[in-house]
Amino acid sequence: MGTDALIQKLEQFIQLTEEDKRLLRNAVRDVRVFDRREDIIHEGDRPENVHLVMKGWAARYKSLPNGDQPILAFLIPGDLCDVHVALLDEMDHSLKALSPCRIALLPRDAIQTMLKQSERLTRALWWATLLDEAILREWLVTTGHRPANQRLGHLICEMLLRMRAVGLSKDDSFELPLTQDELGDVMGISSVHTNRMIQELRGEGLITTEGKRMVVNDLDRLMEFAEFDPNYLHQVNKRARLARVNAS
Amino acid sequence: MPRYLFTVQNSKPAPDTTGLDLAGPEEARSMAMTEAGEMLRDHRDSDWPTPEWWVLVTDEQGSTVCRITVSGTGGTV
Repeated sequence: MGTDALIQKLEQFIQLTEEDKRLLRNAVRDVRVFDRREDIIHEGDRPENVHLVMKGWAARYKSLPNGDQPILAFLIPGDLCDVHVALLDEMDHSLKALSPCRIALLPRDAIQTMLKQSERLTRALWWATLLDEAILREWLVTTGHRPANQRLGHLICEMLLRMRAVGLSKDDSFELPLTQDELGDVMGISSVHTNRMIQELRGEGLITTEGKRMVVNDLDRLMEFAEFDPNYLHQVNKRARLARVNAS
Repeated sequence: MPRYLFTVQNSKPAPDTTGLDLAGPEEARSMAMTEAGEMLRDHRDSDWPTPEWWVLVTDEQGSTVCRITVSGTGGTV
């Protein structure tokens, strides 16, 4: 099901009813496949659809006159790209696939209909929007104020928790289908420096890499090293559930 | 594309075991400059002055492409 990861993500915040889930599934009108590095939508295009990542990794990016394409967000399964994009006449940034991707298209009218029919979904999708903003704030803070080794550690912690929230991690590891260029781009450092930081974290025993798989050897230690506080991911429902499990 | 190795000598010596595929020596030199800047920025709060640091770029045959050396001297205040 194309919306399973989105439902799993939203249910970190609020329990959806079967009717909510049906509305979400019905809003998907088409599914498209994109190759690695293929654009999903360009800056300047009129956004006719909201894009939902079903499989693979995508990114928001801006194109600069010098050819640079800084990445502004990673989008993983369950992430909606700008649910309120219907309010805009044109895209002010682009989306591209970072790995082979399956993307569901939700037309703007289908989103409007869905939101009118369920207050719970409206609240849940606002939560998802606020989460996107919180992640962007954290990236801004991290890029400007943390050394590169902490930036890398921070990003790995974040992506592990985000992948875990949609059931895509295994034993504190996850598939990271990025080049060192792309990873460095997000952290605002060169690929040479990214390579050195990966080697440093490996040397400290904090991570292991197995091909494209990132393994976190000790999440608590990596979080401490990177000064990572997961509060900005707002995984409230999950935390509450965990607290209940721990208390019982 | 040719591969270049970026070896850094500072308080945490780091031989490059993987290298990076780049268009040519010009790009490798540009990367070395960036790396030297990033290295300094990451260590701005470290004890200072420190011994001399350098970034050495070699090609796969071991020939030097460039070496950027950073050194500083403390003043009297």
